[in-house]
Amino acid sequence: MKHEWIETHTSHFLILTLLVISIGGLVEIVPLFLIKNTVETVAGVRPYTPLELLGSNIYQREGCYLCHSQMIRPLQEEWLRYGHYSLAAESQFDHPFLWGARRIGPDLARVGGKYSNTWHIQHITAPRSLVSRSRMPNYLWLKDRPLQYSDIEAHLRALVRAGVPYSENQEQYDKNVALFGKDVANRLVISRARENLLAQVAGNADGNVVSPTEMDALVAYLQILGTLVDFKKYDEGYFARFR
Amino acid sequence: MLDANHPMVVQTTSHIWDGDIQEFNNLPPRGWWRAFYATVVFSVFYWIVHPAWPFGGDYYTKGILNKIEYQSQGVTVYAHWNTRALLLHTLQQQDGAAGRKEYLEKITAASPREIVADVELMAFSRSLAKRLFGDNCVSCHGNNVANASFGGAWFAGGIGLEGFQQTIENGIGAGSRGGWVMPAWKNRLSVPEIKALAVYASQLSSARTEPTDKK
Amino acid sequence: MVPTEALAYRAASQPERYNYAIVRGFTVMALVWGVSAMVVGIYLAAELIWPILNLDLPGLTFGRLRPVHTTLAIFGFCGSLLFAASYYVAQRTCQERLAGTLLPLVTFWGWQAFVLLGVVSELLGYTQARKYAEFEWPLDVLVVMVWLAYLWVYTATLYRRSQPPLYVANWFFLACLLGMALLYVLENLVVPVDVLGMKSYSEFAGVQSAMVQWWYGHNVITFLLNMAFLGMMYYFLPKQVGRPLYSYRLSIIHFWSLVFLSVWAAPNHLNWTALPDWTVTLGVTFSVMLVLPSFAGVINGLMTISGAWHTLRTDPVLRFFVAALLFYGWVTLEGVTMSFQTINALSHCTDWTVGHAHFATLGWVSMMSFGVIYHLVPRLWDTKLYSVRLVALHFWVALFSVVLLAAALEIAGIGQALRLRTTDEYGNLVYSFMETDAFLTVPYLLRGLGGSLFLVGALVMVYNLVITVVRAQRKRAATEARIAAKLAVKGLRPREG
Repeated sequence: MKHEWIETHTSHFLILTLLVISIGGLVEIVPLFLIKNTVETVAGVRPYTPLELLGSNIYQREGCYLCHSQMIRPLQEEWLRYGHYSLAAESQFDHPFLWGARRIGPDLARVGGKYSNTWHIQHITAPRSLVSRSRMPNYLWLKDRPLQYSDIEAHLRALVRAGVPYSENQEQYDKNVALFGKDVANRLVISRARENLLAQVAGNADGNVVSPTEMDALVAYLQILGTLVDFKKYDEGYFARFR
Repeated sequence: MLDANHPMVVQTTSHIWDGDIQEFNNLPPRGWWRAFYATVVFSVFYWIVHPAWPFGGDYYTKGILNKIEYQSQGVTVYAHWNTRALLLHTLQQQDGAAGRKEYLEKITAASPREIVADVELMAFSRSLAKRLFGDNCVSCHGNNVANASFGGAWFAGGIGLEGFQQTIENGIGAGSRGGWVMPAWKNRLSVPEIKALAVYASQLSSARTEPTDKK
Repeated sequence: MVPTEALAYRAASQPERYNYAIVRGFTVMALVWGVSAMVVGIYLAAELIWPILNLDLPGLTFGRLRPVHTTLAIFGFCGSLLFAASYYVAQRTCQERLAGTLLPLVTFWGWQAFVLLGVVSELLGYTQARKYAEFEWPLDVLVVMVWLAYLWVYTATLYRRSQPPLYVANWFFLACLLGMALLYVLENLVVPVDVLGMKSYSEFAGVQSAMVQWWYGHNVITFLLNMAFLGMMYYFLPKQVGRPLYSYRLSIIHFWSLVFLSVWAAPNHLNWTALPDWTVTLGVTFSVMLVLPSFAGVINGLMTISGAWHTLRTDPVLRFFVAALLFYGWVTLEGVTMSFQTINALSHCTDWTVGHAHFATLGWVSMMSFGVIYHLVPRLWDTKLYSVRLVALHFWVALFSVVLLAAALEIAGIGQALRLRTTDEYGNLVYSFMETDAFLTVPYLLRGLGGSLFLVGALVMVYNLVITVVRAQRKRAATEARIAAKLAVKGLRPREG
């Protein structure tokens, strides 16, 4: 029997199995990097500012993604409840993606701008004071814990290596100006990361710049979610043409 | 060792492992292959009518024979099957879509006062606003004065229907970046949604303590 | 009398023919991690009902504890049992001692350290924020090294065999070993912020990151929870029932079709997302084509018992295998159903998925594991089970509680999902999100009850096994003392081991 040739030689078996396992992944993953339509062409999506980035890290650290999705599906009920479906482009700077797979709480893909900063702070600290039957834990410590941002430049440089366009030099800066406009490009300069971070904290509700807290970062991150694309600029069928 | 239910002559492969593990070499049960081929045929059919296979570089098969029709800027588009086109098709052409659109247009055209005066329109407006209020407003305003946690002052009323509409549209203190008290909803909700909410909220405020949230 | 006893004593004091010590170690740790996983799972279920149980402590919040639950279950419990079973099966089917003396120990201590450090780091909030791959990069380095050692020990043992054909159980273990290695390395390609720190950023972003993650996440299930446990099925089931495997031919079909097709079903986890539709189509169709190959395994297992069904009445251990296979068949069918767009629109993001996962992990994986452990322990400690009736009790408790727990979750999921999409006569949504959540109250209580009962069953098992081992050791000690006494009478000394 032919199969004996495989199973009597352990090395044949190992190599053949590895080959067979690899095929599915290759066919399904590699084209996602090659097919241009995968990530939609759309204006407005930019990398996170230093403060938002650290906010996203806290979002990940506390496992928020386990109960909240950030992926509005192209379904009628979600269109009515959450708004425009999420685009691949909207998470193109998320390393990793935070789409989630379970909604114990509601989807957060477009939560930015929905509530005031003070609401978020109270809700994160004591959810049941606002939503009586909420199943969310109280995150009491976030508003007291000072934000660790001394190594923010190292974070941004790591992301540059993963492909996010933070700028280290004039050439990269000019590129960002062309891509995102001057205001955004200024916020993506690595050497200015700390001052940008503090400036953004100053715009927050409590105005306490002296010691930015983890809450400042988390709320800044939540407030940007889903707000970067202006869907009014695109006709109904525009994003369908990328699928 | 032969099995009475399977009279077909089967032999072991003559290998023995660990003293007593042997293998018969039965054929798969009748029908197994046929059923397997059926799933393959099904899949091939599925690939023909859906976007399916990536082929080199920038191309993937889009699927044929399965066009989806939707309107974009007044033009009818026939797209290959995809989830986003399907959503547009559903929103525009499912049963009741036309009626809903008509209601929404009527509300857009009417003033809040006219909505209140029109019983039929009012019924639609209430149906539209109730869930919106639950998902967007309750977590601050509660559904009656007793459980308004964050913004209870609105129950005082006195700002009138137009006042409600303007407040929902523009929020409170929305100009001061990050410092606003109530967000502006004009970029999140549509005009008819805001009007329906204004009417709903004003009625709630005049009813004061009537619980509306179905528990 | 004396000569036989003396011979037995001598045989026992010689170095074991097989390296059972390592198998015993992994079996015990599988039990320890398994029970811990259940305890954490029940606590999580309770947190969702009574959020006050989060106790305002960062490490106890749902978001940090949930990865601990999956880590304990998948890597602690399933992983340790995989090591135990594969080391045992490789030795028995090749009739050779496990290769190496130090490396098997490295795999044991390395793996336990990985699980323990993984749990601790998750409690402290170090995470890559990707399911089943939460471990930050230093732990990735550790676990890859342990896995390479495992690969060496396992294949080197296989190379020692004198009988050329490799028994089918080993094919599945090998596929698991290779598959996990490939998946783990690609999934964990990251850029560390600082070589002295834990934090890293994923090499991939957005949609590509999502696909890589679910290619990994889906196939951790394929290789670690399916291939590995099918490998166990292929050895322990024929052994337990004492009959030849139904079909070698079917094993070949089963193995290769599963290895090839399973990998493709990954996009099902990203149905209706921003992942392109072509990828989802491939996921759906390949999971349809996967049904019959999966059933091939179920058929191969069940038909092996065919003709000896009466043993089910007397052998509760065999019942675990049968139930596991039936759950495996059910989970396969349910999984395919859930991959279709229309059904997935309903099930995705709800407790239906969680219920499905627990049918798989408790119904298939744990039932299989319990059978394997009941088979292994008496052989590893050279004794008989303390109580077969307790095994039967455990079986019925486990069966009932799996169905209760998973069905409650699926009802919760379907009920909430239907509310989420309910529209009135005007086409407007009826329920706010929190109103749909209200549906969960009763199902969540039942889920907690099911989980607690499942734990009770497992504790019955642990009790049964502890007594079994303690008695075996006492009996052995008594025999040794008696022989020593008799030898002393004749003026002899027992030979030094």
